Amino acid sequence: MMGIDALQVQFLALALFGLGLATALTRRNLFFLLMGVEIMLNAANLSFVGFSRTLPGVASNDGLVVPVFVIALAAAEACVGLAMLILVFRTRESLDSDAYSRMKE
Amino acid sequence: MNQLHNLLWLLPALPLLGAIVNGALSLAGSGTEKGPSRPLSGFLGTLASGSSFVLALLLALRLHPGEVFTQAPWTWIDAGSFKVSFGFAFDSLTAMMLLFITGIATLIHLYSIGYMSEDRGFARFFSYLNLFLASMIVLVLGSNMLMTFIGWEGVGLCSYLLIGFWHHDHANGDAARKAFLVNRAGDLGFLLGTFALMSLMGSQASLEYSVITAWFRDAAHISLLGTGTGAGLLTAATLLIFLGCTGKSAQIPLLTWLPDAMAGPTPVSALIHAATMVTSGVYLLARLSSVFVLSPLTMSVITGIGIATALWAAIAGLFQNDIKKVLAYSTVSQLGYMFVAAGIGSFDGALFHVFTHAFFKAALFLGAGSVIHAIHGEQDMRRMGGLAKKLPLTFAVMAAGWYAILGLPLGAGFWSKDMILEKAFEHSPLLYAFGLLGAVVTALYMTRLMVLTFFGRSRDEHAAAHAHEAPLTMALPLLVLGLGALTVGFFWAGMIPGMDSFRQMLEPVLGPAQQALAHGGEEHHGSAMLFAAVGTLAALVGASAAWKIWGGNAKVEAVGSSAPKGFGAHWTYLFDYLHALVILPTKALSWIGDKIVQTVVFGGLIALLQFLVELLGEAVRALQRPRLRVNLGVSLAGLVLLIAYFLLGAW
Repeated sequence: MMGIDALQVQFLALALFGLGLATALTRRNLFFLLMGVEIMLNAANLSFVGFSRTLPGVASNDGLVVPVFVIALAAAEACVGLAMLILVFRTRESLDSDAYSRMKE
Repeated sequence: MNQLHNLLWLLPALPLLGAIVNGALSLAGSGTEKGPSRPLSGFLGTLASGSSFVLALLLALRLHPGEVFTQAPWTWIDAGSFKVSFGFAFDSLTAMMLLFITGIATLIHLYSIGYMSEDRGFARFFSYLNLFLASMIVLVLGSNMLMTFIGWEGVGLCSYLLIGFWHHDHANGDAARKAFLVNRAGDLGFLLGTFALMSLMGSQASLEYSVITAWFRDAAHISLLGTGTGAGLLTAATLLIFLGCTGKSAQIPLLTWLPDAMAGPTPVSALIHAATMVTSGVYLLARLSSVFVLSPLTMSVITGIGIATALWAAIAGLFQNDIKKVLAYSTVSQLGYMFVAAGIGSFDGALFHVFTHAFFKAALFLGAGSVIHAIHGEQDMRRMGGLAKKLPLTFAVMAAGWYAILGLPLGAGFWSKDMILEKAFEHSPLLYAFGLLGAVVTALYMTRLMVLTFFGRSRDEHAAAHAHEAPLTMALPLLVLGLGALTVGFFWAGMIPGMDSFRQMLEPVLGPAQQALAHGGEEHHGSAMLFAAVGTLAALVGASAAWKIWGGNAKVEAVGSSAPKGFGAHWTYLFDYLHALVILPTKALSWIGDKIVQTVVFGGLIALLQFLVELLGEAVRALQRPRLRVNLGVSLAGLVLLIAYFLLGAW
């Protein structure tokens, strides 16, 4: 429409997803893990939106609807996730994901 | 009546059942304080043996000359044209062997009830005895070489079990292992010989004795075997089978196990190592006589080995102080005579000596057992003496055995041994001379045994004071065998016309082979009396010489163990030395195997394997650590791989 290149959008989404994944995998703090998950979800949203704009020959708003659901789902997930996080912190006194195991090294 | 020969399978099955039942009794009773019931297992064991004897007798009475009862319950091996049946064949040769095997076995079972009465392993003993009898029956009743081989191995196993019966003594276990291993060396010969025989017969190969006999009697085949590879293979086959016979029958070079086998209980020595098992070599020669007569070289080897063994063992018998060892060497020596007879083509003569020897040697062994039993386990003759008054029955029976083995007129050995010597003279006067020399030495050592045991003054007052005559179950077999030692010779009294029922009985089986070898009907009728006279004279010379040397109150000091010393020891253990030489390479190999192969090669391999496994374990362990991020990453990586796989198809 306004000269948006399909590939550029998708590469941006991919980069965002990679960042989210890297955050989730590398950070030990559970807050950052949740944040990583959020970023990945948003990367998927971006991908959807991008495709709905750039896919040729299909004049559709379907790709715009899915992100709305995903945002609702992400809100719910963040809600439950944070609640669990608080509970875990109460019992474990720590937000370090590696400290949650009782297995012997 | 005709159904009777369908019961052939029962002959070995009855003792086998006895063995199983007694084995179960032994196991069941071993935990109790008193042990298994002795009367019960003694009765069952003797019953099993006795009923086999009765069945064999009934069958033998119905057997017409030349007839063969056969029964093959099932086919064992069926590979194209090559078939082996699990079959039994009952001809006159088998009948003869079976009658004395089961008969003497029954007597010895009965004797064992008394002899073993104070032994805790009573039921186990009868189980082994019955198992031995079953194996022995399979050996002589089998219709093919494989069946014989089963029995052949079975008797070897039972021999091992019974020699080592008192296994709390390490020496007995050693003797048992020695017997087993030396016999295995012979068994290898048996097997290889069998294969050689099969390859000779080519496409008609069969293990059935009837087929083998017919094949080797066929003139067309005999001409093939006269020269070239056929002749070589035939010689190899017969020599190898003969090697098997030397193992079982304790001939040079595989004889060292028999004297050691005396470590077993005395009834075992009488049954296995004198009367039955050791004669299976002679049986096999007779069974395959049609094959053996085709190889003159093998026949000469058999004769040579026979006479050498007869002489060597007789002389070794002189050096022994242990009463059972004397009898053991005597057995080896007498077996040598049997092989001489077989080697010169008189298979029926060999079997007749097997038959008479079974009686008088069993009588002698059981008599010796009675002496040992009476003086509480003492076997050293130097500690005996003057026992004739204490043990009149035992003395009478052993005297009968002595009379028979010396070949004094009308005793069992008079007919069988003198006949062998006579046949030997027809073959070669030199052979006869050696045989006669052996007879003199036989008289020497047997008279020495009798004199040292029964005459003179008692050299161990304490033992003699408590000496007691055998109980009834022991006395009865002694009496029967003693009588047998004096009378069984009349089955083939060569000098009396018509008294050759034994020869007639075996004629259909052995006749053709013996006629093939006979050199043109030069019979020496009439001179039999002369041979008998010379034989008797030789025995008397030996006996009186022995009386001179050891008679009266000759000084006989018992020092240390009963093993011979000095030259006697070297003579006795000559073949043990030779065996040690043969075993040396094996020992070297086993040393290499132990020190080099085991420690270096296998040790290295095992260490390497262990190192690899440890490495792998460390690697896997890192993955198992509770790291949420690692776990997540790995599972994502797996997911990516899976998706890639399905998107891109096969790699």
